[in-house]
Amino acid sequence: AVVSTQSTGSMTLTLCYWDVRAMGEIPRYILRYSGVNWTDDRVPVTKPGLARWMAQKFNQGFDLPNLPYLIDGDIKITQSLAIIRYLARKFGLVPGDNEQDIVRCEMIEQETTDLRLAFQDLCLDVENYEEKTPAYLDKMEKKLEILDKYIGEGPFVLGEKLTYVDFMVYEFVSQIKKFAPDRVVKAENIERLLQHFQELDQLQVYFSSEEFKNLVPINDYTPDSFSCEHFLGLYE
Amino acid sequence: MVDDRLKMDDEGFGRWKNEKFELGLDLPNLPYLIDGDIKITQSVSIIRYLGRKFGLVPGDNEKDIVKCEMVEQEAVDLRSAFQKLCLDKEHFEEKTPTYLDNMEKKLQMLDTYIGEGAYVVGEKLTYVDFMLYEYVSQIRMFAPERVDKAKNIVRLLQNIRDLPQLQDYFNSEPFKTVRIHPSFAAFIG
Repeated sequence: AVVSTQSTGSMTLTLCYWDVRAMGEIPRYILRYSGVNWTDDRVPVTKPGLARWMAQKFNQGFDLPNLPYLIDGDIKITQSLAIIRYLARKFGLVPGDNEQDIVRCEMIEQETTDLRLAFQDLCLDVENYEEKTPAYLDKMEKKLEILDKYIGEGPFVLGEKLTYVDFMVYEFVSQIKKFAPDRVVKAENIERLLQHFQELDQLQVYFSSEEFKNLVPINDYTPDSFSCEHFLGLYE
Repeated sequence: MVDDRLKMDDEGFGRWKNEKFELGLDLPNLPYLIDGDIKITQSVSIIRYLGRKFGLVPGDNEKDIVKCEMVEQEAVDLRSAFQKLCLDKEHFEEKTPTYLDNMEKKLQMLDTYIGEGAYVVGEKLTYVDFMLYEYVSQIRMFAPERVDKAKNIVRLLQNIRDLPQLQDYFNSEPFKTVRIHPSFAAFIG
């Protein structure tokens, strides 16, 4: 396991995922933000990494074995959104009892999930990637414009109160921004939210770290990694 | 309560195009829900909202909440994979065998997780039971022999089917005639 230089490690709180951003980076950010000790367990996207995962997948007492997974004492969770929502409740990054706030949070949670899935579909469709990119970009820009208007002045989705959804907006939009910065910067409210997120006190240690400067890929298809079809099979 | 439905034909698409940005929806999409001054899109958000409104929620026990949310996401994955298969007419035949094998494995794990209870969270009916009922029923129409191996899930489906509050609906014409997918899908159901 590659243990993040930032965490001091704790076997009672472990997040495990492939050594890419993809679906795992958001829970990592929440854990970094929280300040607690945790283990940042990463499985390399290589044949040995895959072998390691296949050997352990069904032997760790998970009800629905998958990556990412979270172990917190005797609680074992899979499904990235279930992990994110659990950590949100644990660290108070939740909307509270106001129904309008909850609805707003959950709509944006789902909208950003859609954004990520559309981006993932494009990136993992290695064969048709070039051909599909223009249509993808136009559609993404339209969706982002509508989301931008909904997010409004901020600084965060619920105004002053930081919630797990801000982590989702930050990470998923940052991924797409790396791919198509000129299209994303048009969304001014979202850009402002990203800026506020990067200024969070609790994340300054992380943002100044070597790890952040050498950020792992969003998705990883080096010649050393196992085949795309196999990787996709792991998502099935 | 209004059950507003658009046909997936030119008239329906035309109607939606005209209405989409005129309804005061923040993130215009289908399905949408209007409840007084609350307007919601994104099906999972709608489902969770109605879950809270009608008490179909797991309560405060963290383990129950986690179980609900894991099964919610697993159900969404099941539906996504099935939808992807059915709407990819070009590759439908070729992809079906692999789809069925993957689906059966996933269902088996879910079946073990759901266990002996009447519902996902034991005796308490929650919104997640409705998601399982609908999404697994869809797949069951397509591959009944594969789905029926998941005994706990099949029992849960029957429990939903037997709910007194739903008998009027299950005896109605709409239930008997509604299709899973639009006419351009490889499997309409």
